[in-house]
Amino acid sequence: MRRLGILGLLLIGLGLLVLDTTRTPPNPYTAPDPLAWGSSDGASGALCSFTGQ
Amino acid sequence: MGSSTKLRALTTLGLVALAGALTIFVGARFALLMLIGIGLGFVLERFGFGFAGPWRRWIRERNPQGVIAQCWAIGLTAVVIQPLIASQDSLIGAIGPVSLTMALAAAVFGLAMQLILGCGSGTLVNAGSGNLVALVALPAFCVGSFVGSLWVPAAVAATPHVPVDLTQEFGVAGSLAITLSLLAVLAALAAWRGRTGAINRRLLIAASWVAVLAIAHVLVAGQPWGVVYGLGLWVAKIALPLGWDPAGAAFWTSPVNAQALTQSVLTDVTSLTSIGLMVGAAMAAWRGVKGQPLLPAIRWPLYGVVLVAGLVLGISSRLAFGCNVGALFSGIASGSLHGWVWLVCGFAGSVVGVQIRDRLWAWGTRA
Repeated sequence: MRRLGILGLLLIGLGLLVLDTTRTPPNPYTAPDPLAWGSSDGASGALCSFTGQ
Repeated sequence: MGSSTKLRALTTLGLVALAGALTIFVGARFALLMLIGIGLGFVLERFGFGFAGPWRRWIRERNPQGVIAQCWAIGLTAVVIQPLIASQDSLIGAIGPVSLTMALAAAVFGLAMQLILGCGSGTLVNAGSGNLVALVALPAFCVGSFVGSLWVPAAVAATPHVPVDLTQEFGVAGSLAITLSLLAVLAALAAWRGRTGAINRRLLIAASWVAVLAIAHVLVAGQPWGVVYGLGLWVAKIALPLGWDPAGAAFWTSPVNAQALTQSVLTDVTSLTSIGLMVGAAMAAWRGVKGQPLLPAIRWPLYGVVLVAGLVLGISSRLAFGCNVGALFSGIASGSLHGWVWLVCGFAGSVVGVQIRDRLWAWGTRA
């Protein structure tokens, strides 16, 4: 059943998220700029702002 | 209450609960990003909009409908985000460098994405819809993205990498004129050489939704939509407690990436939208896949090919500074030359990839 594939993925994903949250819990007070729409703070730097380092 | 109404009500309730929890525990911005990802996944799965599939249909059947829809989506996004990014210091475009390794990696990505019929977004969406091939490819894709991140500094050192931002070179109006003209030429070429009708209303509606959500992504995240970074970050975060030391990896010691390793993935832009893509695809596919078998009728050795292709997708997308989303879609829409180079090289790779896939699948499909 293909639905098993969907459920399996969602459960594994949820499990990994719970593990990540126990190790590095999100903190709404230190999370990058939680209410500033359109700010680049916290943006993933892998692609954007290439500096050639 | 009918079962479909019940399912819809439960789904709505689940989404509200998810957004509420994310707003309280992480921040409203991150809740919105997850919802944007879910919207993208839902649209891509429900409307059958994608990147690898339409290229394959054009190469094999000369069906231009998907390619034209892609051009429409990128064009609509470009019209809004190029002036927006140029006018706001806090927003950044997907400006990647052009280089020999970047071009080669894009060609390899184009080839590999045809082998599993899944690009960056496609693999996540297909996995979200319970497609076993994508479910096998996804972990390998994530590992590949991590491995690629370790190789990026060497690639950058080996060949000149030159970022070219068309909005800087020609101004926003000039860049938009170039971007839209090239997209129009591409769409016209696809239609001219096509053997079927050029316009598919359903795909154009999907493309318009993708553009709206991609624009919303820029407004909320501060940067255009991307996929691959998050996949590599997940593996890096898993590798940390297993003894991996990021101090020896130049990519992961740069401030933004080092910070990402110490924070929750729920505060990482790319992770949120990638998780959302899978959730949205699962929601869209749930009813349609009822009764469908999990195991496709293919020989087991093909799963080895799928694993290798997934790994190659991850590595090549990092070396190409993005996949079909971060480089092709967001790069071109932002006015980055590397998006156009990615398009040419990725398509050339896809032409080869389609031939290889046809032969492999002809051998590997069980009667």
